[in-house]
Amino acid sequence: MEFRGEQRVPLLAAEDVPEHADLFISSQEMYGFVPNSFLIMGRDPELLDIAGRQMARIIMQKPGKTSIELRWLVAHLSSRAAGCRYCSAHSGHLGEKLGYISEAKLDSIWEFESSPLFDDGERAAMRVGVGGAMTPCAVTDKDMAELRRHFDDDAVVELVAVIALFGFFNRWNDIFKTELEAPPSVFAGEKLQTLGRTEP
Amino acid sequence: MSGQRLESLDISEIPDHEGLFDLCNDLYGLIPNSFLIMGRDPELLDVAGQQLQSTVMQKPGKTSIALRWMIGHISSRAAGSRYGSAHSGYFSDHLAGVTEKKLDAIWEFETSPLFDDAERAALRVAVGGGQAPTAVTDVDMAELREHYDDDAIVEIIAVIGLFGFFNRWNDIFQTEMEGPTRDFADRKLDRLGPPEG
Repeated sequence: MEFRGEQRVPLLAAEDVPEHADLFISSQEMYGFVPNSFLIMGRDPELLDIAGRQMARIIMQKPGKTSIELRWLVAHLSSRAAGCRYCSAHSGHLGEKLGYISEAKLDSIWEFESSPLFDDGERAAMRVGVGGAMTPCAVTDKDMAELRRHFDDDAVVELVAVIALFGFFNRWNDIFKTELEAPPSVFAGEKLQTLGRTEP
Repeated sequence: MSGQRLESLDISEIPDHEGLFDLCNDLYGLIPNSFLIMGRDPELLDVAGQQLQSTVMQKPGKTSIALRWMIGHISSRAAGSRYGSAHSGYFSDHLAGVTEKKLDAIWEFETSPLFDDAERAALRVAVGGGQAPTAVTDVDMAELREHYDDDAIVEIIAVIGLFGFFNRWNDIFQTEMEGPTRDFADRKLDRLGPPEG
């Protein structure tokens, strides 16, 4: 076990969580690293299975009415709105690396209301992603009405599930100050000097 | 438009979940409207509604169930989530035996003799953790580590994380409260945050 930098609990080693060896191996293969958030969560292997595996799969990967791209855009933007550096870096770096989000869209993320890179459906979803990440929640009736103009009930559930999933992970990683692994750390250094919206 | 922003399904529209709904009625005395919205994705309902809740809030561990419900309650209040505050407030008593007097004093946890130092440390992290951006300091975490080992800390942060999921879910949907939880809110939740002054 080791402490890393500012991180507030020591990480387990992957070998300490044998029931999740396959999860760690596939993370290593897909991402190039094992998420430190999982190596903290491994102290409760059941929790890691539910939150780290199943909820992540259902909400971010399972085919549905919304595109994987849109779910990753919403995840990234709401993490930035919440001020969570770890989740912003992960969703941004991996979103790009895995081909879900273009660099152009990422670089313009805070201009979603006006940039031609985004359509009105994406705008509506991202607007709810921003408001939904705030405390207190800042999603208005108007925001939801606009969302429902573009998305049916099943799609709305998919999008709110993304925002909610990152409600879990934003708090988890912010409280633990989970240390960023090397690849998302490079991304953060290049792209995440500020998380929130910068005033013109 | 006001009120709940997506319609609750009827339980008849959520097949194969009789077990979950029976459990809700037995354990909670109600079926949460948050679940009746979520039922559009039955897999999500299974995993977030049943499995995540039960692992985080019911599975025996190093922290008491009462403490976990108080953590859920104060972090929901810090987040401004009325539904989350009402549910956790009602269930702190109904499920975990937290006295009305103690719950009424929740915002005085730093000073009230009803709370011990270990509870104070956990509730302090819950307050900070319920905010965006989170406001949990290194001092808060060091104090938490004085009272809890790493496994217990994971349990505590998991509660805050669980309510992070459900606070966002229920606040975005403006989920309507059910009978007993609405009653709790009417009686106890004039304000969510700490008293002024």
